[in-house]
Amino acid sequence: METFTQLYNGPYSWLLYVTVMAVGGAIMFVWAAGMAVIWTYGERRIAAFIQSRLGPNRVGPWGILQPIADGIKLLAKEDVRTKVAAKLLYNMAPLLVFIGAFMPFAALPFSERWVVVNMDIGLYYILAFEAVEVIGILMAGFAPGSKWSLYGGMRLAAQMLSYEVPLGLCVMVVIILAGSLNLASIVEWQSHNAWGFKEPWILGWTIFRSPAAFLAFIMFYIGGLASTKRAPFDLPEAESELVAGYHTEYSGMRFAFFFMAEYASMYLICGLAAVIFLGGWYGPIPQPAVPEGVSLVRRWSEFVAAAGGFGSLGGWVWGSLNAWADPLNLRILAHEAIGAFNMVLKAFSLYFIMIWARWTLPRIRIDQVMHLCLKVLLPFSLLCVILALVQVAVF
Amino acid sequence: MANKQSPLRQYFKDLWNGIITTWQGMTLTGWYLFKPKVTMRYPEEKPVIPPSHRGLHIYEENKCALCLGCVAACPVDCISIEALGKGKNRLILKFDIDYSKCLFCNLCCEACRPACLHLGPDYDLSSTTREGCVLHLARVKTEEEIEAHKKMLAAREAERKAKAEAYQKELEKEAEKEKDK
Repeated sequence: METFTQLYNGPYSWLLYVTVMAVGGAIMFVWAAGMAVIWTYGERRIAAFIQSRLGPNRVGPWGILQPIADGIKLLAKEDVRTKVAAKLLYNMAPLLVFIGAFMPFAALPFSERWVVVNMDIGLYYILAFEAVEVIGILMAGFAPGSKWSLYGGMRLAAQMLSYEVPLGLCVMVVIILAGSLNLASIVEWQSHNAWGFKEPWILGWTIFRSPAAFLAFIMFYIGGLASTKRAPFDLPEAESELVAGYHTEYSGMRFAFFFMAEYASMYLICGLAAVIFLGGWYGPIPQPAVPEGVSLVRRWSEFVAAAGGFGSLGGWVWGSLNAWADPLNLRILAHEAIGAFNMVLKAFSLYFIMIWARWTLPRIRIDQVMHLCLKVLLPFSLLCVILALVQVAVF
Repeated sequence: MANKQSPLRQYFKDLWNGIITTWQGMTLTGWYLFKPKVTMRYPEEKPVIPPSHRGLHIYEENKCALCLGCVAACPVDCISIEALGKGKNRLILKFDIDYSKCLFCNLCCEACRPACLHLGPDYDLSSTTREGCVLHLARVKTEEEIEAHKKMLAAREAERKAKAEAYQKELEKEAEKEKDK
């Protein structure tokens, strides 16, 4: 194993792929689960501030260790199952819901090179796995044999199925404008040649490129609120009518899975909106320029090969140290770090607005939900698609 | 009041109303996000109590005249007093208020003629037992103190009796003198 290229193409290449997958999966798992950790605290605190309260402030400084205390509580809780529950479905539902929320994280990028899989159909993949969640929640609604769960599950199925349509149509606007399903190329398209500028900064973002895209962004966000079951569309878990909706009969860690899935899919919607509408890792903080097509891993492997190859310990250590000292490598790192910061900043801002909306707007009725989807969002998103088509055809 | 508007016009009006009311609500809660908070971290920081607050009683033992006006005024009989002696020579052994009964109605303080009983600013009383709800407001007296006071009282009593006897004798003498005349 002299060079990285050999490792990449040699007989042990599967080892590399498995390692990359395991490490990437672990990082994204921590990030997805971390969303629940960060934002349960964030949400409780913001909710409290909006209601002129202080919120959790006892566990640790400013109460930041509260989610850990919550986690310990959930772990220690008894796992109760109803007598009439369909065992297999009951056990499967939380896992399926969590998988549906967690799998799309593989394609959701932090920045240009910092992504587990840079898929050509990333957008399609993310939306497809978002829909898996519906099956899990229908299972969770049906399996325990409780009427609250069933009502919650049915409401969610109706809501999610109808909101997937305008959501998809809004994404369609971006696909038409950018001409790609690959998230990296969508951001690449946003960072070049808009309004007569070569480097358009925030003017290059999709929402500023076309009125159709601006409208589509707002509708995508509303549709995202509905598909992540956030207020004012939280009918499936309306606690004042349905106890807790589809997760009424779940306790302990099973409940925690639903919980984490909800917060993870919220980040997913916000992150996706940030990537396809708000320029992803491009702007507002400018990144240092980096030559195209440079891979940090490949450059590192070259340094290791130059210092003695992958066969020797000296090669690993000295090569890695040399790689750290290289200015271009550092510039790529800064490029990626600033990009990731931009991306997370935008996603978290949208996340914050989601929470803000939850503690402002009252829950709407199911017929109002359907009215909003079928009579407002659907025609307007179709209009947006047509406008985008006209724009692409004419300009 | 018939609604004569066309459905399309109504549709756009509803849409506009929805957007506007959402905006109004969001700005309102957005303001509240940065407003000063109403609640506080209780044991660490405490609220400012107005002077008229009716909290736990403040009892000034040295001013008390042992008139028992408070006991008479209390509508729930939550005050119990025990004392040795009377007037200036009193020693108050017990001045208990049972806060499981007390209404904080202020009637006892109004009845207190020497103005030695007040409702103070303290409000954080809690107990897991009924006995714990009873507060002993009088200073705890030592055995020696009580003994000394008893002795003092006995001495005074003896003195008073002696004086009374002397006076009685004087009276008798005067009566005899009158008879002699």
